[in-house]
Amino acid sequence: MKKKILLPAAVLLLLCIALTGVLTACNKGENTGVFASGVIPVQDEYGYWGYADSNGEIVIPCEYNYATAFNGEYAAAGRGSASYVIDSSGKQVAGPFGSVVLFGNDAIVSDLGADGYYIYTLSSGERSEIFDRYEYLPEPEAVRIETDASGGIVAEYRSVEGGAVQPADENASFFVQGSTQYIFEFGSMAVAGATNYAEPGECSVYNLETSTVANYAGVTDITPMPSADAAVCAAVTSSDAEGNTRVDFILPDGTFINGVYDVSLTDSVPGVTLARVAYNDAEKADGYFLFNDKAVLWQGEDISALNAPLLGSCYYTEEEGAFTFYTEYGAFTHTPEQIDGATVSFSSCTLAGEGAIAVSYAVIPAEGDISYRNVLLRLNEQGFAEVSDVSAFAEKKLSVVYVTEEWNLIVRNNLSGRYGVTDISGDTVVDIVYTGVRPLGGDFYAVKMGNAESVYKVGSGELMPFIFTAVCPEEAL
Amino acid sequence: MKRKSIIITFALALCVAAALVGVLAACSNTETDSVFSSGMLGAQKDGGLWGYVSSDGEWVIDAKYDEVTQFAGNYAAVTLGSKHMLIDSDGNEVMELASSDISCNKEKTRISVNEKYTGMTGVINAENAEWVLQPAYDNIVFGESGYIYAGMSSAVGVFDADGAQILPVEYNAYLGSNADVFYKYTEEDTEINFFTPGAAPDKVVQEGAEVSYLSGSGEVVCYSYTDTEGNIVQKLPGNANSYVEGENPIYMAYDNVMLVEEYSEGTATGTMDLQKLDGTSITRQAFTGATYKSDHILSLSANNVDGSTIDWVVDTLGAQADTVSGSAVRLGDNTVWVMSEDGKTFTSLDGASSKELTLGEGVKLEFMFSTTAYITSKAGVFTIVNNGAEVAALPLGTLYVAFTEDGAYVSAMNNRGYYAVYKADGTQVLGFDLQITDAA
Repeated sequence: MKKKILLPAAVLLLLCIALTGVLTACNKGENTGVFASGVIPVQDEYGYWGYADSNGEIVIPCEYNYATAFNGEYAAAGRGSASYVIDSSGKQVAGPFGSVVLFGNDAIVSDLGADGYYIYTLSSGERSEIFDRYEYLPEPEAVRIETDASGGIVAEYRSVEGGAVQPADENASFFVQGSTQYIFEFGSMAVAGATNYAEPGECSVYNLETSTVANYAGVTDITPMPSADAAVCAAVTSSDAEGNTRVDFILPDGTFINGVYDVSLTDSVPGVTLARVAYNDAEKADGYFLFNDKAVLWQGEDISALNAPLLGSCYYTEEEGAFTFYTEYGAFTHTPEQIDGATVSFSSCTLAGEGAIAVSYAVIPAEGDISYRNVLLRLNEQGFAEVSDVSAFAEKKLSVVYVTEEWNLIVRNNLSGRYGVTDISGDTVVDIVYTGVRPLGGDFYAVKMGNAESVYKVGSGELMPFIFTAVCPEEAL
Repeated sequence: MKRKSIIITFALALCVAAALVGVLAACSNTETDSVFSSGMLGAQKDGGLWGYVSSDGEWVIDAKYDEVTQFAGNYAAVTLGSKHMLIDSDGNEVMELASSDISCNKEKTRISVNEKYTGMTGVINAENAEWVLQPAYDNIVFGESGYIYAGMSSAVGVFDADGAQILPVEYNAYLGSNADVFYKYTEEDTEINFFTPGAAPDKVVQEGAEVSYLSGSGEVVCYSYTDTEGNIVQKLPGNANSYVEGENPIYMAYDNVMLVEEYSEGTATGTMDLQKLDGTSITRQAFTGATYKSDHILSLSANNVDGSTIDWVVDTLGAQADTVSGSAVRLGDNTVWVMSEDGKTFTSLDGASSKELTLGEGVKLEFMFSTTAYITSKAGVFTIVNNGAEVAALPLGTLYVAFTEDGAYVSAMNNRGYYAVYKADGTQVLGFDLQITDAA
């Protein structure tokens, strides 16, 4: 009886060895988080990309010049001028193409040596009609597709949902005809139209979030108003049948401001723009609008209520001891602990990762020692700021560099110059010994040691030896 | 005249000795074997590639490398084109490295290497190439007594020879000639750890203390703080005395000695105490002038009670001092002698012993390692003299001859740029025929 039980185990082991050739391959690797598809892109010492499992074993050889992460079944990888769609065994399931950008089960591809792009459905091999250009808009996730036509451009917006490029909404398609053509996006708004002072044209202002459109006729000027490199708002000038000129100033969240004759922008804080709007009506005071690319954060007529940016990092207002900071991520309100007779003096407010800011201030009492505070503020889903006091970190010579989605902190030791991760209470979660740390989501971090990178899992440590120049590159589209 | 020529040849000879055994000094400085490390010498063949020759005078690893280092234990680092690797004594590749920069401890039991993929520095066992300290550091320095100092940017930690942590990587470091000091500031105090050769590590916690080098020569580390009366107090590792501003401050330190000023009722008396670094007094005099030479000899003048002055010479390394007339020189064996005008008679600092060199007609003194081991030349032919006898004559065409730092070997270079090595007893070890043009 005993022998019967033992034998199958031995046979199984032998089978395992025979099938895979190496005993270690029977080790179960990670298959969650960044390893959900089993493999991650890795770059070898020669600069070539391939894929490895969580033990660092190469699964798809490093023969590509670039390789994207798998999203579900497929990834894109290119060698020389040819790009392919590959599956997790490394098989080239589609291509060679001139270019490939994957959207789940769809891809926007171009053929080798040919102009024009089309949507390719991986499961069926179906191709859409050819278009001349496209631009991927990460937020909200959409693609603008342009086809040249006589006298103009046919532009349309398609959303990317459920891992596929959705067909165009009938509202989202514009024929932009005219001598000076514009198509540009800012925030969740898109403006498409043509201007020609001699022959006024049409303009459509499209809200990508709500799929609604406002159309103008008689447009004589469309002005994208840029802050740094990209448009952050727009001014559309049109004239009506009686020849009255009207200027509409459009903000990234879809707010329309009418009756405008001048707009000027200030851009001293990253991701936040301050606009001063002068109205046609002489009796109407100037309006000030402070906005990021999603929403108007503050508006008012009294600019003195808005405090000058703290060290160039954010504007703020104060109301009865509550301070509101206006940042690229939104408005954060924080009420520092009130101590009778004490004044609060802010020294800095810096962006610290996705949706979080780090604020430093001093509490100066009427008598006694000044205490220094470092707090992290993060917006939760309800829009309220969650606060965490990280003042104790300074004693340990740690600076908070980034707040992850999981509310962990990527920290830097100011003495050793090394990075690691702690939880919100300061307990080390990733040893503070690495020359660089990047979040990969969940418990996974890309850790860098000198010229090599590895993946670190919280609780397990480094999953693979430091043999790759890079792992899990940031996606660039 | 003779004195001058000795100084010139000292300099030349020093250069030769350095070229032969100095490039990667950290691994070739050993008290046992200054030329052959693990029985081999990294050598360049005929101005081209590098290999290794044994003390039997044979090329044991062919000259096929672009760069080599001396062996430390069982391993050396070599470069072949763009590839850097660690090889064993048979010439087998053991591991790839990011560079051929290696250093080793005094005992040659541990080697610091730059790991191939990360480029970071770690420590391996020189016997089996296994990692003792993982390559996560920006730099590694080997300290006394087998300690390893590992740094990440400006933070340094201390590990023992097996990689066990003694101090975490969060300290500032001052490496001094008298001690290696690791300190950090806490809320109110400074925590100072001393690692002194031959003594157990020591720790002091002192409010407001600062660590620094004493002014003078030789990087003597001390720490100072302000006492409750507002005076600056200086302290040295291994020295129980407190040197207080306005009472007995340290004037200057030179290698292993220091001058301490004496004050009486707030005014300097003019008397200084020459002390060893541990506080032991060598002599108290009214010293007035100090001249320090690069061979670690300090000349001082002192005023006598009757107004006359007297010259003192201090061997700052050996911490000995005496009154002398005549100039003092430090020989290759690190002993200090007062030399006569004609350069032939040498008297020890304490006057107890003297040695007169007998040089024949037309014989020039070229290089002195000690009063009994030196090199002479006559009509262009160099001779090695040891223990009073001429033990070897070098062939014609030899241009430079010098003893190595430890006096165990004599290296020579001929007019073709080739090196030869002899033992101090005159036995030839490597000949000019091996075409060695440079050594690791």
